Amino acid sequence: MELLNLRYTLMISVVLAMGIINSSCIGTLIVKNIDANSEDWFTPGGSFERTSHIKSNELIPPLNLAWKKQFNSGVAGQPVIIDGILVVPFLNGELVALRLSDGKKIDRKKFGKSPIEGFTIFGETAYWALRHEKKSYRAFDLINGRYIWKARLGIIESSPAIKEDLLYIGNSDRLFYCLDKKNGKIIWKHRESDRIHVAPVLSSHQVYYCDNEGGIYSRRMTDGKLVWSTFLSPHTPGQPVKPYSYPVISNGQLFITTLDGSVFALDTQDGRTQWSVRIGDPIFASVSIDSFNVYVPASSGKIYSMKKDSGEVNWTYDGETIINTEILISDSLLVASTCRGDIIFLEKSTGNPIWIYTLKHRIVTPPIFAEGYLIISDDNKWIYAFVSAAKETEEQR
Amino acid sequence: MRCLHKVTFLLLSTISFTTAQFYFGRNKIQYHPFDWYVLTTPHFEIYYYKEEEELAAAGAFFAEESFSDLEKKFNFTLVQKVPLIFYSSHLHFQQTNTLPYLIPEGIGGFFEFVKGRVVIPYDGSTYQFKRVIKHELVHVFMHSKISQILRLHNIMTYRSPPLWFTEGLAEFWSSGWDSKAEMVIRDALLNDYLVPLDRLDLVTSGFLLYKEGQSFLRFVDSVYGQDKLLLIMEGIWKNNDFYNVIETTVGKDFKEILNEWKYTYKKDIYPLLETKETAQLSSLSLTKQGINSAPVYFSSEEGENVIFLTNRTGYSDIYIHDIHPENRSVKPKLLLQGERQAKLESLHLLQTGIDVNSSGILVFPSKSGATDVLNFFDINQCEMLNTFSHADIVSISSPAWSSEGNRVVFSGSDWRGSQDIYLLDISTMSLTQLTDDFYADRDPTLSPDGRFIVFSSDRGKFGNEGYFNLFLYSPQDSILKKLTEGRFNDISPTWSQKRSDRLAFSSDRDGTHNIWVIDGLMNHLKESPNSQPPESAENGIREPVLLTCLATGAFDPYWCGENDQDLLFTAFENFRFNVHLLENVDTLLSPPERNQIYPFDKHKVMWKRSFLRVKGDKKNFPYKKNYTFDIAQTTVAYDPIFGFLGGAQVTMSDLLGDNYYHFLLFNTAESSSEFLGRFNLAVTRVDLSHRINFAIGLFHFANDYYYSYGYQFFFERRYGAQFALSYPFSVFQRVEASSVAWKTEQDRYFESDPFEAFLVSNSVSYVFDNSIWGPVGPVDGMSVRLTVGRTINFTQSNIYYTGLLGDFRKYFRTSLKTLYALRIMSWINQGEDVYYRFRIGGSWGLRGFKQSEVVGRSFFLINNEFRFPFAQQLLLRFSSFDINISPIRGAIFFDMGNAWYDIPNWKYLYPNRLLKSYGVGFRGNLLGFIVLRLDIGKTTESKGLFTQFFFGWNY
Repeated sequence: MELLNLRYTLMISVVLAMGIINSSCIGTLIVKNIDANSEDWFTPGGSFERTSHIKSNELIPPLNLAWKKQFNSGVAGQPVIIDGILVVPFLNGELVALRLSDGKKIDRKKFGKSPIEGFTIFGETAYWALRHEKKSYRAFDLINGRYIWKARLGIIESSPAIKEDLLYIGNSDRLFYCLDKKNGKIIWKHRESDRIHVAPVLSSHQVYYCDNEGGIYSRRMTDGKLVWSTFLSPHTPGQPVKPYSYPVISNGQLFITTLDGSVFALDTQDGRTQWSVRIGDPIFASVSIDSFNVYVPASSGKIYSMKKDSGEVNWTYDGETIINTEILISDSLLVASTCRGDIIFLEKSTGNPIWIYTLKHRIVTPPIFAEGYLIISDDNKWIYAFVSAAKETEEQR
Repeated sequence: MRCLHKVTFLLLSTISFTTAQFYFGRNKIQYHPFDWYVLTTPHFEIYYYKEEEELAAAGAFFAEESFSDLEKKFNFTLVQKVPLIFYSSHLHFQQTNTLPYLIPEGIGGFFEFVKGRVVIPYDGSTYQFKRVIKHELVHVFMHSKISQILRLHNIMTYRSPPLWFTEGLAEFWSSGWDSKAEMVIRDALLNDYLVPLDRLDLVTSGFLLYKEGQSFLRFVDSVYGQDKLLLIMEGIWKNNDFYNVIETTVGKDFKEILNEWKYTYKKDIYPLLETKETAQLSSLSLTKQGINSAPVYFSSEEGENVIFLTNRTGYSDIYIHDIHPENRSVKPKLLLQGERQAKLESLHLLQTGIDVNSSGILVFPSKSGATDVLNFFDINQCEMLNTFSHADIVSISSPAWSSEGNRVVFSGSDWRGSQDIYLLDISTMSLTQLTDDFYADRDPTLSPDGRFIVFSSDRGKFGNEGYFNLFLYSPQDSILKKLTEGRFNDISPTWSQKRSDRLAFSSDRDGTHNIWVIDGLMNHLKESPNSQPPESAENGIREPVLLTCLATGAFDPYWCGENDQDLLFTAFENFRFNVHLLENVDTLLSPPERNQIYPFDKHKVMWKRSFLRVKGDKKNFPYKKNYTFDIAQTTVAYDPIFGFLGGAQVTMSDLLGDNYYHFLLFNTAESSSEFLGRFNLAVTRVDLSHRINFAIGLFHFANDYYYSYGYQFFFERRYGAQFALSYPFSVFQRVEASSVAWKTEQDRYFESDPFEAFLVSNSVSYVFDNSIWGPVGPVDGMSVRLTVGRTINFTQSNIYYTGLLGDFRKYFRTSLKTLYALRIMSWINQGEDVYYRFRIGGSWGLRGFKQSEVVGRSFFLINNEFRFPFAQQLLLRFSSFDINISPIRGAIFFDMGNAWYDIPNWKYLYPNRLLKSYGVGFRGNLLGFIVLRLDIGKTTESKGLFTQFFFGWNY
């Protein structure tokens, strides 16, 4: 692993040097072909299904703090991990690449004054939005260190979903776009009933997304034809049902959480509500999903494990303070972070706590995991990297 | 460099008055040495004194409950424990040192930013306590959340949302909507004074600002969704302009949202006009100016009178007004002045009722020193007969006479905060406590035969939701029954003493407060054996009937007329409280719509107050002083001659604000060899925890000074110790004393011999101030300051310096809006002091003369000024902002005075005669705290007109 990192670092240095020679370059960060099914964490939720489910078996508590680093700005959205490199978008318009193993800075570039929003890496390209720029949406070539294209798409606050040559994204002007990811040209677009500020998800042929008023849409990827649309029906009549975070898709089911404290499971074929459960407390984060269960973080601090097919509650765990970020799940355990600063490891089958680590400040990003490292950041602008004790020992050896 | 000297002098003088001995001003008195304890809960540190232990446990529960709810509303949590300081009464709360200034009666709690403290008084109502805790915690959460967002975005300056948003959100998230908010918004819409929110910060009325904000945010929440309020806060980084943030979040132009809000409310309210009336049209208004409340009726051979509380002159007073039809046009007469003397420090306007018996003895509560007292005032003789106070009763409200005039029933709060009903026998002055529990029992009224008491209380089924209903109590057999029940507020019951079957009260059961009447009450009570109220529904009473039908609000009913055929009440309309008379009530009372019997059930305990049970000794411990920073600032300056100069000032205090330490550290070295010798260092400790406030300190100052009148530089090193104290006799008057002992070493560069002396300076001052202030300065009352000081040179065993100061200011009201203001001031200094000079010219002193034109070591000054209203407003409207100078007051002035150096020689620097000036002036208030001054006039020393423009309040 050390050799691998060294190789990428060298490549980055070379490309950076090329960037200096070529004055039109903005700079480069990393180079790699991304496989969407890889163990990398390249977009919010870890994949374009956004299940926050990792396949690694390296996430074993207790964890040791591998390194921590303080920056001069807060993290914008979620960082990504690509082949040993942590790329962090910041609220001050900076993008920083760190070596995952020791946090050593590889490169940093400032792309503007406004936050880098909806950061995602796919293939050799990074995509993000800059709020105050006319051409607000950008595709950036990580190999050449240049913008590939810039598009006028208005205010975009969420990450895209990408499949093959098509990129899907919604904006604050109620428009949902399908772009050619190679040149940013609009393939199709549709205006929905309210603003779209959460990321879409993909199945094999359809794209799914929500607007701010609880409208859910399924469109054919290729031509944008509406397959179905529906509005989430409130449990209390007259009470608006509004999603605050992105939907999650898994095996023909679309899961949406809302501010009125509801979890909806929709059939991806026709948009029919298969089941819905009202917890009561607002839900600010998306669910996480494995093969059988759905894990719901509630603002009350409770974590619910529900059966995927019925919504029946398996167990609950009380974190005692607000949880407003997604839960990370592996095959055997789940990792939740509370706003107060607790990182909680629970046994997935029972909800029993296994290990708890408390930071000094509020946690502002969900735990993400790749290549043996758990990454999290707080509101004092620290980024922490944890590694399991077993892995650390192995690496030391 | 001279600037630095000035800074040093300024800091020195600040330290010399560390006991907060302001020149004038009223006193905050620590009457009680509270025995503080700390209760720690998962998210709070609760500071309470022993007597309110139960209240603290309840407050802890409510705080944790609110915390849990606000975490969800804000999508955020607090990491540090929040300090909550509880007081069991507002009178205790007013003694807090967590804020340096006096706390008005209208303040129900506050969040203080420096130490993040929340300070809350208890007013007897559990629900209100819970609501205020949540209100203040909304501020804590909002402040912390916005700070976090700005910090993460590297935005260094705090972007505070406008006050209407912060207070409106705190109101909305703590209480949702209530009849008071409905009343204010209805009134504002019906009388067309709703202020656009983006200009609300210019409005001085806090209550309107709170309620408009609450109403608007309620509208946004209901129409655009609950997420919008959260998203507005979360988007505060997006734009400097808060209104732009609202627009981008809601997706509409702000003015469009405002119009929608107003239109929606108008649609709700305008249909009410079909059935509702205005107070002005439906009854006779007896008052026009100021806030007027608590009317009571007194008839004698001399006439029929209404007596009421009012602040028509600025002070709270009691007035009497003849309401006989032939005499109504005569202006109300002042019966008793309040807020000018210690015994009547406050009359609790809008918070209490008063009463008068048939002999003309007025009973009313007032704040007098540490607690409230009941005052008995003979209206016929115009003299105070007696006062009553009790060691266990802290605050008193709403006294009511028995028909025989020998007993008074009232509501009183004890040290625990419990608000109960008490009965006072006037002949023996013996007190009986009738209720004794945590429920808030208010506004008692006695039946004509004295057997029953009806009062308003939250002890009913819906009391834990904040609703007050009526209860009937029989003192003879201690039986308590509920009279009304529902999710509404029934307050201020008043039993007709001549029509004993009637009880009037104010209720918001139809949306806002109106007067309702229960008829046939006494008949039913007479039928019951053994003085017990009937228990069966068949023997119950009729439903209350609506008497007034105001769209806004009617309060404080009081029967009047020869046969109680009329009713006095307080009406809220056009943002004023006025006393109204409703004549011939019989003709207005319709039979109940549903002629059914209202239940008259036996009372049982309906709800219990929740407590947070904290186990373990470590959770509950005596308060220990931990000092944390209030101010920590450093200064670095660069002088081309003297190089770098630097210093620091630090203030630390304990959490209750009772004890302070000030540290000053400065260095004025001009070369490295002087570094150690030129340290300016001062340490002062201030203790405000007792009635006597004191300060002790040590100092060392070494500096070059410039004596401008002698055009000389001199170096002085002075070091020594100081002691100062302040003892308040009352809120209006105090004595101050200080003693400073120091060694001075002066090197006067243009004199050959250096000067060294050991000096001791003592001074004593008497300060009186009961003045009240308008928008540009004092408008009524009097201020006096007398100081005598003497400095003795122990090295030469002589008197080094003597100073005498006299400053007398009196404001004579010539009408409600005009006054004559007089200032007579003299400061006489005699001795060897070399550099202190008075400059009395200028806009604040002898007008028409330049500040440095009239200079001396002593002076006298007489200012005469007639002040009058000139204009409501001067508004300059620019495309993106307004400049609003409001109001503008006019003045005609005549000044005289002069300054001199030595009394024996009577040597003036200026011509040896009395200097005079006269002219007109204008003073305008900008932004609520800046007063612009323009004076035009003539002096006796020049022929032309002078014009002086300056800033500052009137004397």
